[in-house]
Amino acid sequence: MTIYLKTWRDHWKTLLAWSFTLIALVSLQMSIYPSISKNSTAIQGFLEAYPDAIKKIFRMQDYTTGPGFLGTELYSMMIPLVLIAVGATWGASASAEEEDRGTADVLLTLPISRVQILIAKISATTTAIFFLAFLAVANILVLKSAVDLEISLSKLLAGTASSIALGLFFAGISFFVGSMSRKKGGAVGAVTGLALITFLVYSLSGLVDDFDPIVPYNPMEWALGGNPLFEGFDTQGNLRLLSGALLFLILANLKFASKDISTP
Amino acid sequence: MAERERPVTIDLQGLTKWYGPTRGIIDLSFQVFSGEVFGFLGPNGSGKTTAIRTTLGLIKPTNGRAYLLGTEIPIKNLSLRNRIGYLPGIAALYDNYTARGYLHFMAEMRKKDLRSVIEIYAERLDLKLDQHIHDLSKGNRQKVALIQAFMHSPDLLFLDEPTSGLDPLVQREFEIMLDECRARGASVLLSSHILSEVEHLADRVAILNQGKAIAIDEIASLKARARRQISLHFDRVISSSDFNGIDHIKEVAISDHSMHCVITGSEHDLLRRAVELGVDEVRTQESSLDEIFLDLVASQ
Repeated sequence: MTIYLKTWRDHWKTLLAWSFTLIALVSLQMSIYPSISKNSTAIQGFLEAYPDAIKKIFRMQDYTTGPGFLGTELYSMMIPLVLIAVGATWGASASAEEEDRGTADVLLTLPISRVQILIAKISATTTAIFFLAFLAVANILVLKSAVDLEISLSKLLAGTASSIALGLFFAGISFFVGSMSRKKGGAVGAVTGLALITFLVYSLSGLVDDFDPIVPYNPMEWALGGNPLFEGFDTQGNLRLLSGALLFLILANLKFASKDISTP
Repeated sequence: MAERERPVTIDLQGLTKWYGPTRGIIDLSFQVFSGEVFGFLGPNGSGKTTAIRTTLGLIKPTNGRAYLLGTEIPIKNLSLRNRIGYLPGIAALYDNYTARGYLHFMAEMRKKDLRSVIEIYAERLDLKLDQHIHDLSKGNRQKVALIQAFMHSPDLLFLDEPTSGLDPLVQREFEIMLDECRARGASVLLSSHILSEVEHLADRVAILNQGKAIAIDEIASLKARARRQISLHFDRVISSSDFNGIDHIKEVAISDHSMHCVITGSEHDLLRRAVELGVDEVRTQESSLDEIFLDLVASQ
């Protein structure tokens, strides 16, 4: 519990910044919705005139409906990327930053095992991802009647669950990369870079046929491909993401438990 | 108490660490006993820090074994770690804490209430606990790291360059803290490249060079084995032939009533011959640990 609380203490300022950013983003997007819904026929017609390529890249399915609007503006990129960024930063800090700063030396001679340390930090990261996702959901629920946006709670939670699973998946990768490296910056860069590439591949997959063979293996596809805001909870996609997260977290623990700790 | 009657707290058996093709430490074997301050001497890069970090389980040995408080490393019994204190060579602390917050965190990790002990140590070392660690000078950071290592009264202390950045007054207080450890039966493995410091503080030393222990002994024994300069004055004129057959002497210089030489090893034969020749004054200039160290390194 001491390490869990320390992890929150170490990151509380950035978590606060992400919370305000998320609230601002969600509020801003929600405030636009009345102008979309009031002119839905015109906008839908306008969107129909968009090139197919653009519609496919931005997944603008039923854009003027509540789920379509939230999917395009928040759940296809912004919310997942915030959760990924937090997971990547906290995950990379877990072991790489301790090693890079030299604080691992004393920490690892204390009466706590390396695995216990990592599990405490994984728990703190998971809580932070859930916390931010909850903030987004709460914000949408508070504002949705004011802006007359219709979406069922179960669909909203289904979309949020996929975003959480995606955040945890990349957090798992970040813990693993962090355990192999001793530089936090490099680990964060590698994981966010990977997230952006997978997002780019996912976005372009509707246009580029060459991407077809890798689509089933793209974590963005696992999270967003099932359209949870329309279709509800995507069990298969979420299971894939959570299994991947678990696998990377196990690998991270194995690596961290056996590695030689370097000096700064 | 004789060494063999005291419990062994550190037992290294051929401990070896290679980083790929790069040498860390080679075949280190020695024991440290309860109540002993054991010095680790050597130039930078000689393997002192690697030896400590391998013994503490931070890096895995390539070969050999190490036992701390009777338990083989890596120590799985976590409660045993509460009997060990460690001051790393670089005082890396959590910058987002105050000194007090950091030390309380460390105490909490040890599941101990050490608040009053922390206050006492801070007063002894003249450390302001409310300061943020990122605002502390190098010396004050070292004080925080020292308190962290000492505060839970460990039975075994690993101190890597402990006086780095400390002013003379605090160094004196540190020596008292070390004496207190010795008095309550704790063992201290103290690494330093400052020979006079180790000479002053340690009971025995291991001298490391290029990852190997080139000497492990009490400082007095090392000095006895080291080269010393001896000057003898006689009440009659002497010649160099008077000292034929005397072992361990070299660089002999004779002038009328005086003889100067360098001796390595026992002085017994030389002094017996000097008495037979009517010596009336003997002057010995002992080697410092620096000279012993340089001699040992040169002889490798």
